[in-house]
Amino acid sequence: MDENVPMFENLAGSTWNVKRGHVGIVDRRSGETVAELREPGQLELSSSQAKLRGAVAARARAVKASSYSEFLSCLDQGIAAIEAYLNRRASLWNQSNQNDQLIDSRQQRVSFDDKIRKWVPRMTGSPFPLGESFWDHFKKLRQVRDDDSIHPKRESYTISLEELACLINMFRTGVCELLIRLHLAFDDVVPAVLIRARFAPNVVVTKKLSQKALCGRYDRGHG
Amino acid sequence: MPSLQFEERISRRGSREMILMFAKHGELGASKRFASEHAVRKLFRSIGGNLDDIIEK
Repeated sequence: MDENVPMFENLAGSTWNVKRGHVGIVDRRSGETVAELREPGQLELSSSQAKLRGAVAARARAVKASSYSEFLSCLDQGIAAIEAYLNRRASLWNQSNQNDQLIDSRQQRVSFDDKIRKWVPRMTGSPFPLGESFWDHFKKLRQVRDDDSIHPKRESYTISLEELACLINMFRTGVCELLIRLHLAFDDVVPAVLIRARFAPNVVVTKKLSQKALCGRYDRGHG
Repeated sequence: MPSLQFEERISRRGSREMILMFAKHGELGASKRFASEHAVRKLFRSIGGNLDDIIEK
């Protein structure tokens, strides 16, 4: 469809809620229908963007409820968004490079780090900048996810609000900045949801004002 | 009871970087993308605005 209406997906977004009718996703090269829906449901054009939106919603819940488990959900989906983006790029590469395939299968496992270190430069023709802070932040957040979400090692744990705020803020660089850098490396348009997530305001620990104190502020005209 | 909260504003530097990111690499709903901060400032001026006015102070 975007052949006829340039950047159509920017107007419509990547998630479609379908109430009736018949919609499908067609591979323009092969003409093959990748996915279709003939009944009410949801159609997702970008798995990466869908995961990122889920991560951003979980981050908002983590802040609202000061919740570490919501933050872990945010991390799960944020890192999955990066993996989805990399796999999508590899799939596009494989379509046009029949003699130089990038394969990640059960028989031939490729680690996430190798995809970043080896696959990305192979596809873009340029080294990917791993010496910057976003890569250290990503590794730190991935460790948190692995230890407390994917393979929980601790029966019980503590985390201070200050630590939680620090981790939530690190999501902007460790996940969002890394994903932005990947989009730039491939000269892809950076989705709005990703830019907003990257430049979200700082999360801070605050002492909530009581209702009485709040009313006092408004009464004094400082609301 | 202490809790977490988003700060009300992002920094001036953050606002500037975000606007430039949208203009240079983001989805504007149009095919045109802007190559430099100078081009973005020129666009704002052409519609009677000033980039600095919309960046949080």
